[in-house]
Amino acid sequence: MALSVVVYEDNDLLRESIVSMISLNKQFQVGGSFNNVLKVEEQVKSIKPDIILMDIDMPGSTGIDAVAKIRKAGWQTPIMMLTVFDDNQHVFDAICAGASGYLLKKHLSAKLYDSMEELRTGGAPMSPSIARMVVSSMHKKATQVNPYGLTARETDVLTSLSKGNSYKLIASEFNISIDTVRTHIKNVYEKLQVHSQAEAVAKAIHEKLI
Amino acid sequence: MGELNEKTNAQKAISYYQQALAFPFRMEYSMEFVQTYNSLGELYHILGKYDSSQLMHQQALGIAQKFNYENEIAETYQGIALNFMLQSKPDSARAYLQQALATWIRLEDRLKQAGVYVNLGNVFLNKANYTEALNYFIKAEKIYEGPPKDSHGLSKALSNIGNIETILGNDDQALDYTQRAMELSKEIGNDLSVAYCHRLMGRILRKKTSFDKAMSAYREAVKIYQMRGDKRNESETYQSIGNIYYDLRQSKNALAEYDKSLQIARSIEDPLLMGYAFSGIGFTWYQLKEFNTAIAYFDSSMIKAKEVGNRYLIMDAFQVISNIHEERGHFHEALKFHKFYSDLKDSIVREENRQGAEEMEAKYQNVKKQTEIELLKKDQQLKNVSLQQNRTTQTAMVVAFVLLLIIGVLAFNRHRLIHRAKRLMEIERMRNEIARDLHDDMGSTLSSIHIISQLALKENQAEPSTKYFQRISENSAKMMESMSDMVWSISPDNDSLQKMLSKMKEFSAEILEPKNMSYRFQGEETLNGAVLDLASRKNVFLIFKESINNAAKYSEGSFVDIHFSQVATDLLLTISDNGKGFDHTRVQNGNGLKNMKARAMEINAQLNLESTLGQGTVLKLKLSIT
Repeated sequence: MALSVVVYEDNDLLRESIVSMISLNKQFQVGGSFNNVLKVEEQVKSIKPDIILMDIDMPGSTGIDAVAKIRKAGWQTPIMMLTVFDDNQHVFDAICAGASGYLLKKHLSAKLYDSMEELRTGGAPMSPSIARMVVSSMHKKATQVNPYGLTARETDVLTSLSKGNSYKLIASEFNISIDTVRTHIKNVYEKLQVHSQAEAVAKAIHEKLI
Repeated sequence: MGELNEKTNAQKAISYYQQALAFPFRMEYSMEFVQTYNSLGELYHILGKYDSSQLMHQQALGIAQKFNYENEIAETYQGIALNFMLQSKPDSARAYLQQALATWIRLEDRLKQAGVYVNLGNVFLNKANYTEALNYFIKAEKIYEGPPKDSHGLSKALSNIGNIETILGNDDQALDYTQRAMELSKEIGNDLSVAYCHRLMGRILRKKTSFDKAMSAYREAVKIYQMRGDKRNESETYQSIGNIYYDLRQSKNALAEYDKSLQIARSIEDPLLMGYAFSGIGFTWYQLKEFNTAIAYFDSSMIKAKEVGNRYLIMDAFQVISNIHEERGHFHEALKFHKFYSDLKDSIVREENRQGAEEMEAKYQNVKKQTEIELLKKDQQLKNVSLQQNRTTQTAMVVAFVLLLIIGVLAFNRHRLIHRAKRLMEIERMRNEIARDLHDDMGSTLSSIHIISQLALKENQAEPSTKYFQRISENSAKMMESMSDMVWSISPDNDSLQKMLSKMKEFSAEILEPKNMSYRFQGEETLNGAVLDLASRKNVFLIFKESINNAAKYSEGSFVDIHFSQVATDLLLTISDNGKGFDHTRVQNGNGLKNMKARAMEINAQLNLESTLGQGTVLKLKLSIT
């Protein structure tokens, strides 16, 4: 059965293009496409997609807010952020809010199918820019020795990645397979989110929102 | 304690005062400090240690001026003046006395004014200006007679008047004044004054040829001076005794007394005293007809007299030398010296007359202007007060204005700096925002064009329009790429070489890995946190990109070596592949190469591209960084 994909993108032309692309692949089907995230909770609830593609900048409410809402509602649907820049703080914020990965818009036509497949299997790639942001955010939280609870190897992989090294180079550097590198990165994603969500809950309690 | 001892033993007193100095110093009693220094100064000049005395007074003056103690400043001036007087520097003494007098007049302290008059009288006496001196002494006497009567001061004034009357030849009056002074001095137990009166009596009695009485009067004085350790007066008194022996033609005795005087004068380095001693000795040798010896002593006397500007001594010397030449029959020399003598005498007389006339005029003017002066004084006081106020206000205003100006300038500067920094940040932020927004929007659109063209290609690969879709696809991809590079290069976050290296590695992986080409980065560690400006960053990266693209597309090699090094302020980048290379002459005009050269030019970098067919390509870029 084809996987249901929901697309959130405010640029109409791009949204329609993505929809067309998805329709061409038998593995995927379009569950819905929207130019804003104002009713994201209801839409996810009714469509129950397998994958969500989410633009970051949208009028009214951002993709990051939408990710947070979806996760807060308890949906574990993989969410892929669509962005023009991968060195954007927004991408990092989205990951912390619960996004599973991201895809540069310039790579849409070449990598959309592969990326969605990777996302589904939990192996979302990470660019050096994002790795750098993770590393620097670890340094900023210097009060904690290991704020995200990363293992030594995960930290090594992340650090190497932040220097611009490819998965392939990292694999040869540490004498591991590329798949192992992917697993480490996947773990980093999860730990970032877990940590960030825990922090969000603690903050919410503190502010008496719950 | 110090006061008590001053009368008996100056030396002892000095040590007490020195101990006393430590006390006010500890207690920070500056006033006591001044007074103690002044007392020390007086004691030192009694001992003839004028330099020490001067030093003490200067210390006192410094402190007094610092705290603006007017009384103490005036007292110190008088102390300094007295010191100058004793060193036979009457003009310096007079200057200080005038300052002291001005202060006492302002403070309306009549007794202190009288004290200064006495001092001034002594100054003029020293300058042999007797009429002026007498005038001052009489002024002082009037004040001292009171009410309230000041016996101490009065005795001093009286004895001084007696002295001048003696000099002026009014012996009976002189004797009368001196007698009164002596009685008063004894009454109040002022040894110094008693001694002085004894000397004065001696002088008058000598003139009246009562030599025995005169001699015993002088001996009394010497006793007192010896007791007090007053070298100067002791020396002077020996001269007086010598003079009596001279009159009595007891030359040996006279010479002995003069010699005593000279020794003391030498020990306290008093040129006037020495001059008089030399003169006395000269007279005695003249009396003994020892002309050569006499002339030698008169020469010495003249030298000392000239030092202090005492014309009477010089006049005496000229007269005696003239007489000696006459007696030897050297009439020409005798006449010459007689001429010197009479010229000098005339000039002294002229000056005395002129001063007398001026004084008469001054006295007349004085009476006339007395009321005027009183009015002026009051007026001056008022003016002073308002001037003081004005000055204070003016100063305050100037200070306030300067402060305001400084604050203003600082505030303006700060504001300008903040404003400029804010504006720069604003511009930076706006530039980034515009670039990103533009790119976000255009990137999305270009992305969709790219997707659509790809879709079109997939859907219908046989159509003749395929090649157009192909070009649309390629160009839209290229545009996305270059826009992304542009945004990357203008972002200030990417200033560091490290960020550029990371980007280069990422790009290399993206381009070379799908082609199964390996690559190696070397020499990163030599780049010590160098920073590239916007243009260099952009152009170096684009040259790098072009080079990697060429390697991937055309070289057909399997390996790319990327080498960085920093030599002093030069950054060197070498990119070499093991591909097939190219022929310079044929590829010269390729767009890619042209672009690289243009970019290198733009940042003043040296670009060197070497390639031989079959032996790969080496690109070298040399760039000056700071």
